[in-house]
Amino acid sequence: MKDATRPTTVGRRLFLRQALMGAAGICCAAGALLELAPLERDRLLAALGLEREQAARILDSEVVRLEVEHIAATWPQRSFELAGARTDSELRMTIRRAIQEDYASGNLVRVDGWFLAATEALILALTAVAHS
Amino acid sequence: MHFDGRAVPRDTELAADLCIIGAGAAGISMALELAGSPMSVLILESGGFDPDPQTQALARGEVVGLPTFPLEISRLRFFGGTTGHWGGFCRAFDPIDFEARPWVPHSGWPITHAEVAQYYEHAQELCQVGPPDYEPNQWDLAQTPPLPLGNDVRTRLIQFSPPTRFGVRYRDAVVKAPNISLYLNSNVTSIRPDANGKTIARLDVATLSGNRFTVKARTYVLAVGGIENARLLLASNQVMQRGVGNDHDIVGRYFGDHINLDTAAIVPLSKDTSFKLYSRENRTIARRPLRKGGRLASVMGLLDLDPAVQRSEGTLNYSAEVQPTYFSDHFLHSERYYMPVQSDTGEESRFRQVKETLSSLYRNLSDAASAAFGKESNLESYYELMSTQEQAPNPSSRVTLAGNKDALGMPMARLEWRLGDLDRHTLKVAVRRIAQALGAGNVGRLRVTLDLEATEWPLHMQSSWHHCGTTRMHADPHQGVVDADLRVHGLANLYVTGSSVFPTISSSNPTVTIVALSVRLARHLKQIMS
Repeated sequence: MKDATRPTTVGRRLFLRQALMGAAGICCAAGALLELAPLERDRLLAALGLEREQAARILDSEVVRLEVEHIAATWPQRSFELAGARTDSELRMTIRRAIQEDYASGNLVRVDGWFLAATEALILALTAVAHS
Repeated sequence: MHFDGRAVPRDTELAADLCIIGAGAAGISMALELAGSPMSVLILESGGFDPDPQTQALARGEVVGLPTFPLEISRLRFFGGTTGHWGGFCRAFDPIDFEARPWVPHSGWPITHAEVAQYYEHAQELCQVGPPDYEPNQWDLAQTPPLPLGNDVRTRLIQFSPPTRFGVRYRDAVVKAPNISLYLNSNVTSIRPDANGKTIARLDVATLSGNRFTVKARTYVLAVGGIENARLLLASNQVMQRGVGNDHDIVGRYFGDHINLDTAAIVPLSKDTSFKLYSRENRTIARRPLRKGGRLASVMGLLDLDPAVQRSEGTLNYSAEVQPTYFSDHFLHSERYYMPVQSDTGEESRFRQVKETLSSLYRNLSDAASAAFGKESNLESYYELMSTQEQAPNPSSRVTLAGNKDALGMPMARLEWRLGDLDRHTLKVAVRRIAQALGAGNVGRLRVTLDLEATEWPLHMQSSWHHCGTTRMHADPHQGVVDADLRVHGLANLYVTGSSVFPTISSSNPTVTIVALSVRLARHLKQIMS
């Protein structure tokens, strides 16, 4: 069983780190994180290597502004999945499956005009956060 | 035979069994059907065999409400009518278009799809295209396959007429018909009912040269287009103050046109994905129908919202073209779209900001696609999604009479085009559904190039020169101008044909349905008048 309290090996990749940081930010923004049980919340934040204050600061970025509630409703479970990915191929498969599930179920969000799978929208927003 | 109305002795009363007002697609289709029949047919055409500016100026009018094309540009007044600049798009209306859809107020035709469908094959022949086959599986499309988009957004085809210029193609057939008399340069200025208002007694006709004469027929058919049909009925108010056929204030209302909108960019995930079937550039490629004996034809794919989705989402009918363009164009288009909101001195920096945002998102999307699918995205080109959607029947969208008059002393038309919430809802649903289908099919991603939440329609929205609905068909005289036989309610001998009788307008181009309804009317009149 994966230990979600440890930083992932995949997290070495900048792309994933950005994704996870933003995931935390968006989850906080929507309040979804607060709905998690305290233990789960702490484990998630620890997995992301963040304090809650850090996550909140990410939200100061104007870029993360659209459809956060919708994304957050999808994301907490996926955050755990991504954080638990051990290899690049595992990460790729997880993202791919998540995106296909999103499109099949109509779980789309709009980010600056793009109609994207919720998973894709998150990744996009997070990349922008890191560069802002 | 053909005559010039300017040479008819002044105040002459011409007589015929049937008088058709207008020689466009509708009027000529009727004439062809009636050629050689026992009844005498007299056709009154505003123009000559060729266009001329003075006659064309009679089509001028006011445009208020949503912006649309000047009326004298979108219609043509000469023999052949507006087929003179027709683009040749041929597709029959769908069965759902004829249904009373509870989510579409005022929808429902008093005739079924089947009643019209029996005329479509002949209508397409008149438009020089083959049978009305619009499903991809009816054609050999191996070289240009449809996109794998599932069932909610389906590919259907449109067939292309050469396009047929009715005035050129059918001139001889009309002029040489022994029972048809064509009067050119002859403008009907008034439809005159008798004193009791139950039948039409005569037509007043004028020419730009100052001549005047009248026409008396057993039966009259008005076939001068979606604007002029209403204008002429409203202007014929000498006996009936509200105008002919307008006892219930319906004439001119429910004006509809297809909403044409450059809506979104589609970015393919793979450069191997072929959009060729959907490209106007490739419509000259002849495709082979699978139907035995079918002839080669030019077809093009459209993305349609499936009727099941229309029902579940409560939308109107919707189609979209997908046209190739290039990434650099995207920025040019972006400037155009954002232009209306640029008004302060920070214009340039805001432009740059928008461009940078788009560029950043595009790069990020490509990265995400690469991560997700493990292959390179197509960075070289993208595609434009161009919506053509049905407009909801809207009584406040209407043609009335303007204060100004034309050179013949007739009040000009005043067009007030209005759209409503259902039109907006349809666009939003369609774009989302197409984005979903593109994603689920691993075909591409979609970026909307307009603000779907805005209360105003974007400035680049266009009408489609498809003027419909102003003398709509309905069994109830309180809700329609003509009945199921296209006879004006309350009048024994006046009929209307053309797109003005459409109660709802589909998302398909109107020409073949105009022709089908006109052929149907001609056969009906042949039957009852003989």
